Amino acid sequence: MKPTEGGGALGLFDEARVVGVVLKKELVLYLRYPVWVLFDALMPLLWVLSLVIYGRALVGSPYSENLARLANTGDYVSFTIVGMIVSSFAYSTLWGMSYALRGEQWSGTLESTFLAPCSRFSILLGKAFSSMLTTSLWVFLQISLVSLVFGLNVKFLNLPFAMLFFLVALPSFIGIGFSLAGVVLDFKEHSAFVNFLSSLLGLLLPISYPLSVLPPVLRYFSYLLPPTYAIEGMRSLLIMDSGLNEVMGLAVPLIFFDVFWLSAGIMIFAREERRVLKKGTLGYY
Amino acid sequence: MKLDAASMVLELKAAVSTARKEILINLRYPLWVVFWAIMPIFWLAPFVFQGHALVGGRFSESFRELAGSSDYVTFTIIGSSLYAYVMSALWGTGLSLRREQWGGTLETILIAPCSRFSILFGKALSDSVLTSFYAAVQFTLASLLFGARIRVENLFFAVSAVLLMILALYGIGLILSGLILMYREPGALLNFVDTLIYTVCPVNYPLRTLMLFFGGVGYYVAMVSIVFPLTPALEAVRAFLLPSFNPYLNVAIALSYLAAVTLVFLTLGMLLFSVVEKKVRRRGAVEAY
Repeated sequence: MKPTEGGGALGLFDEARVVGVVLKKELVLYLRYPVWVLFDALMPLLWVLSLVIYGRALVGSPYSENLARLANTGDYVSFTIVGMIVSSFAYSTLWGMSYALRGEQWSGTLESTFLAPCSRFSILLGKAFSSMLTTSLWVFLQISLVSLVFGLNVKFLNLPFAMLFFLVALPSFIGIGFSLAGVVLDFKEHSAFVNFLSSLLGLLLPISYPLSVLPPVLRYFSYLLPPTYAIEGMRSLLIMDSGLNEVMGLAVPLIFFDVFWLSAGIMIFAREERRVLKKGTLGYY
Repeated sequence: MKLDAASMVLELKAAVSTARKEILINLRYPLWVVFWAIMPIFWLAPFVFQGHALVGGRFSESFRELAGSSDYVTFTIIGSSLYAYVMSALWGTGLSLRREQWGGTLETILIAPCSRFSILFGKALSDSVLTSFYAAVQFTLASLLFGARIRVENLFFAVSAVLLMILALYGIGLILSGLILMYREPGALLNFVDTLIYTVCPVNYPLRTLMLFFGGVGYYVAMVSIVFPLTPALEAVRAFLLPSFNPYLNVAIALSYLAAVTLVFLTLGMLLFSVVEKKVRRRGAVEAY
């Protein structure tokens, strides 16, 4: 990995070790706040619950004829839950990566972290993976609980394909995270910005409804977001029992987004980092 | 706190000054003002779109059976507008003293020669004023975008019920302020209470859905829901504004209950806050971060 300005020249193996060490450090820090751990584990269940209860109020049963017509499945419970699972990874990247360096700034450790003789991207990747690892763990717990309570109708045999499909989407999520980390590094105050983006994603992503119900203008914006394709693909594999060949049409734009967002993310982060270093505001609060 | 007229006027002045200061500070962050005025539409819209996906229009037969009205769009617009007050009580009033702690001004405020409650009520008052503005913007925008159909002639009664709810929420704000002053780290607690209220209260779905969804347990979940002032307030406001709405709680019962919980929460909040404040001062931990 090519070192960034100020970083030393480490080999790929050493950079991978840095990723592992940062991941471990983040997990240790995370586990030091058990109330937050409990919150992360259980709260998404309540969010799903309110969407599912709302669905029940609207149709009176766990099956919607209209959804079956629009999305080839009338089982809105499974439909919504798969949407929530994929979007929770998008949100975890959004919050995790944007908070990553801001958190170091709050703790006063950002400058020391930047002095480490390794690539900044190894540090960012370590943070992103730790956030994804905890999200995966909670998603697994939530799927188990939801399957027990609501009887989730998911084709578990397709789970390896779904995970493979998710791996195709992952680089684009990470690329978006790099860009956000860069923007937050310069603009500091991240919560209004990330709150706005989260709310926008909540509207544009097809989490609890198919894209066809969105007004055309919003639908076009939705097509610009990688998580849209990830949700649609995972849903096809896990609920509609599609084969890998049937979701190839969704994988192609995702590969394009992977290349675009990873390049854009690396460029934006490097540019913002240079700006901050030149202005001398790296440690500014 | 003295109860003669002159002292009361002075305390009122302290509350109004605090409210004015808080509003001024809020207006210094115009981006946040725009965010709070507009963003709730982004949170409401997915429910409207989900409704369209599941029933194919703005009316639902199942909703009619559960709530008397099949117009789920107006139902959710009213719900989300009132929910803004809960968020304000939790994240505004509940966090108000913690914010002073962050700013290093809590000790200065607590040695001011006026009652703590005047300061806290001033903060709550500013939150109510701002939230009413946000709720009005949200309701107007949502009505323009999605088309709310309400009985405008009953607006006065609906606003009266909202005012009663705001008073009850002041009590909850006081309780949370006390707890946060004591235990400091508020994020997880506030997020939990926020999500719990959103799930069990009839913000987006009629109260009877809880019985339909949870079966026998649903009755107890509904009872938990009624503990929060938002539930009787929503029942009353919808009965006033939503044509053909059939409330789970009769309007008179909802309003009497709302008046009772207002009294209970305010008394409980003031008592709890006094006890906690004494404890924190004795421990010398007022400014401990």
